[in-house]
Amino acid sequence: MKQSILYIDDDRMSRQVIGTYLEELGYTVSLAESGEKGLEAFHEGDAEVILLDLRMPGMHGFEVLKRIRKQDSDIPILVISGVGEMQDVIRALRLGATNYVIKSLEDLGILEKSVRMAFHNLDLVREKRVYQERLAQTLEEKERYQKQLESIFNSIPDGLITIDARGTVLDYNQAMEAMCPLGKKLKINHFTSTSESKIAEDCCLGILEQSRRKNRQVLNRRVECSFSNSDQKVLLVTASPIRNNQEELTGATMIIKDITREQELEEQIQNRRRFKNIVGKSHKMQRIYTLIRQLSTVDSTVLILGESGTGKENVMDALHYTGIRSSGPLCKVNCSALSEDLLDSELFGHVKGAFTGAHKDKIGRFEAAHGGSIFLDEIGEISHRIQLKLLRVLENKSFERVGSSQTIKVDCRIISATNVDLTQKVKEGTFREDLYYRLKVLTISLPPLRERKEDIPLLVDYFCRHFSHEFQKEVFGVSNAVMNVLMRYDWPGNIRELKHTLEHGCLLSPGGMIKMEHLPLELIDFSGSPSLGLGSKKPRELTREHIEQALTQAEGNKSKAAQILGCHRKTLYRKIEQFKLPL
Amino acid sequence: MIQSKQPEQVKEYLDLDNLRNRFSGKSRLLFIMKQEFVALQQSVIPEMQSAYAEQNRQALKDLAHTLKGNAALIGALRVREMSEQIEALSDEDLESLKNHLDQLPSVMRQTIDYLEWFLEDRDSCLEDK
Repeated sequence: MKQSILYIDDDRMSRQVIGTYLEELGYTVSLAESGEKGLEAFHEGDAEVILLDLRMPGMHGFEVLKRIRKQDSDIPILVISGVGEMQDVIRALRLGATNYVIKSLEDLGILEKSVRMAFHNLDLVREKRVYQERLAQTLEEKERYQKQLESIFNSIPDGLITIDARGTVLDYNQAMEAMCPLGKKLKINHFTSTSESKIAEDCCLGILEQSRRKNRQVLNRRVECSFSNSDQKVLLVTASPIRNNQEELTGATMIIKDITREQELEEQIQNRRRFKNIVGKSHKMQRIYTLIRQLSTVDSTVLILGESGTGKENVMDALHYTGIRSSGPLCKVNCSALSEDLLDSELFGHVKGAFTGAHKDKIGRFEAAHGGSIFLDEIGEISHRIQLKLLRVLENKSFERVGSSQTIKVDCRIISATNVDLTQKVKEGTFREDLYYRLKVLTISLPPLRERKEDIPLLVDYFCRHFSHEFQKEVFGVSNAVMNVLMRYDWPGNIRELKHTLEHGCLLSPGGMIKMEHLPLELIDFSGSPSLGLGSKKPRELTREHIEQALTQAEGNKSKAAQILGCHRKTLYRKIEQFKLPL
Repeated sequence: MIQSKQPEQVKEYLDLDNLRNRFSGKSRLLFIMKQEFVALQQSVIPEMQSAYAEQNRQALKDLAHTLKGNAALIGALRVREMSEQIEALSDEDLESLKNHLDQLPSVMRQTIDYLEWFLEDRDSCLEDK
């Protein structure tokens, strides 16, 4: 598109000659023969440069200049006149003329250059305007981003702080102030630390300082922050150096996340979900873990088999808490611990007056487990009557409370466990075959500890830590001699027996290592150590003599005696009954 | 190429150097310029004579000023000089400018002749340049 000029001059010959001259130079020229018509053309047209004569009848060139300049401060106006009187030149320039050119043949070159310069300046003005607009947009955008960033900076719950290369605080957010006890003392443009208040290296600001000084990122450092006036907090700190394009250190930034609550919740979850309490790295246990993961995703009835003490309850916990019913209740019933009537009432509930002592209605464990899981331990011990009722629950998911005819529907997953051989019981006719098959839809068989002895060191470490914490003692483990004994022993009571053995050891140990003398007599005896033992007896052969000694040592307390003997309390009771010892 | 001889007095009437610098090769512009000067001659001389007859000093002065400007624009040296003298003398004794006014038509005619020569002989002008 051609550059356009509006030429205002009352003299016809000037208009024609100069107008044509400018057209020959490539400009588009529109002509106006008076100041008035020139103003009209300026308002209506799209002239980019104005060429203006001064002495015109009607509106004088100065008046035209004044009016145009009032409306447009940028448009170049070249005043052209036959005379170059100094007072006219000064006045024209004061009124905003871009240049003053003499209307003569010898000065046409100056006019040509002035016009070219005017367009060039106009381009610069336009360019400047574009840049100014862009700059304004950029500044506006920057301000918007700044506000957004500030908003984000202050609204995020994590503490944020930035410092420069010298350690001077540049900025920090409100969360930082609230989260870090030192945050309240922070000031922008002040150092994070002063000679008066040195910051410990293991606190958040210390980590930030380390990151700055060492020019290295500190990622997810866990900090337990405890100050006298505040509760202990667990913080996760990430500090990173800030570098410029030349990779020079320009400062550092730090993000602090308060994970106190998450930590508490995680601990709660870990305590509830016992899956991780199944300890063992042996192949047999790896298979069990795989099986548990598979079975936790389905809702079928599971039968857990295993000798006493192999951890059936832990497996049940894992099945429930990693399964689809984990948010529902988990009810546990030891079927061997209750008489038939009590178990009936415990499992299915009763109504007021159903039997002597039934003073009010009571819901049973099945009802309580609605939406969750019920664990029936020692399932092999239940009577025929209970077996029948249980079969009905398995088949119809319904039952009646004791003393009631009202049928109750339940929805719960049944996980049962036993250490007895149910097939043998079925053969003997003491356990219903149909119930057996209902219960063993899916089976998990836990190996006895003697079949996975490679897990013993792990279990020893686990229980030592557990009892150290429980007894508030620093017990680090067992001596090599003890470990040797533990690895040789057959563990008829399985993990429970190992647990009790280590509990015994931790109790008797003053701290440090559990030594031979801290082991139960049965183990000392098994070790064959003459100075400590009572003779070389196999642990499973709990003799009358040993039991009497332990009972005497424990002053008749069966639990303590069982601990001393390294066996389960129930085993001790059975032995007492077997040897017909006084209870 | 045919080269017409440069008239002897042309440089007294026309600013040939600047004309060549600015207008050579621009035949349309030269044509308009000559045409406008012819039109000016046809209008300005009777108007000046009339103003003189009416002793209208201001009209005479304005006409001389316009003529001076236009003559300057096209490099008509003699016309410019003469109109400048008329403009200056119009404030004084009008009798003293009578001689200039009488000579003006022939000077303008001669200028137009030289402009025509310049227009027709622009190629030689270029070479001459």
